Amino acid sequence: MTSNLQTLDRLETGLTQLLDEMLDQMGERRDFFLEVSQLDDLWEKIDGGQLQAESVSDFIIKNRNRWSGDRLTSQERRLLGSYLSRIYPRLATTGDATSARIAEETKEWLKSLGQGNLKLTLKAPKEELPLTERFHRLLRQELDEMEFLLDKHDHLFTCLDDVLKTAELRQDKTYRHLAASLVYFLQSEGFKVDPYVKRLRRISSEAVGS
Amino acid sequence: MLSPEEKAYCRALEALTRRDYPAAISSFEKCGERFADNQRLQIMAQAARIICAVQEEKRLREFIESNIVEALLNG
Repeated sequence: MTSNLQTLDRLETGLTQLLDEMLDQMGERRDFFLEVSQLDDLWEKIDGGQLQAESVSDFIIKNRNRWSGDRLTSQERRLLGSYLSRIYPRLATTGDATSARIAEETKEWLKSLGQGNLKLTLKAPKEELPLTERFHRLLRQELDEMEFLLDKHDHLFTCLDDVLKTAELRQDKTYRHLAASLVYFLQSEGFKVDPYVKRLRRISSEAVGS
Repeated sequence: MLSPEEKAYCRALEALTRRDYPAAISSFEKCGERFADNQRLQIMAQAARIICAVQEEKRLREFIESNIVEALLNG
C-alpha cells in the first residue's frame, strides 16, 4: 500500500512540475492572457453600469509600459485595443476630472498600440435600422471623423495613414470603409495608392479571418 | 473581445497558475472545440485531470489505510 502511495505521489509531483514548466514556457503570452482576462472582467462591470475608473487606472499603471505596440502580436494588439477603445468613451463622457484624466491615459495607450489619431466616437448601440438609415449613419460618422482628422493634418495621405492604423487595431468596419473611400478618391485623383491598397486588403482579410 | 471559449481558456490558465486543478478542468471543459487542435492545451487539460484522479485515489487509499489501522488497534 505504501509503495503504491509513493508511486502516486511521484506521479502527482511529476505532473505538477510538468504543468508549472508548461506555464513558464508560455511566459509573456500567458501573462498577457491573464491580464486581458482581468480587463474583460473589468469591462463586464463597466458595461453593466459601474464606472470602475480607479480599477482602469490601476490596470493602466500596471500594464501600459509592459504591453506596448512592439511587444504584442497584431492579434494581441487588436484584442487589447478592442477593450480600451470601448472603455475610453465611457470614461471620457462622465464629466468628472479623474475619469477624464484616466480616459486620456487610455487614449495615449491606444495610440502606443498603433491606433491613429482618431476621434474615438461613442459606438452606437446595435439597432435594426433600415439599410438606408444605417448607410447615412455610417457616412455621418465618417464625416465626423474626417473633420476631426483634417483639424490635425493637412494631407489626406496622413489622414489615410491614421485611419488605416485605427482600422488595424479596431474591428470596426467604419474605419475600413473610410479607408477604402479615401483610397478610391486618391486613386481617382491620380495618386499612387498601391501600398495603402495592400495594407487595407491585409487588414480586411484579417478582419474576416478573426 | 474574448469569446466565452477564450475566456474559459484564460480562466483555466489562472486556475493552473494557482494549482487549482478542479477549477482548471471545469474551465477547460468550457473551451469546447475552440482549442481542439491546440496540443499544449490538451496536454495541460489531461495532466490536470490525472492529477485530480491521483489525488482522489490517494485520499481513498489513505482512508482505507487509516480504517485498517483503526480496526487493528481497536478491534
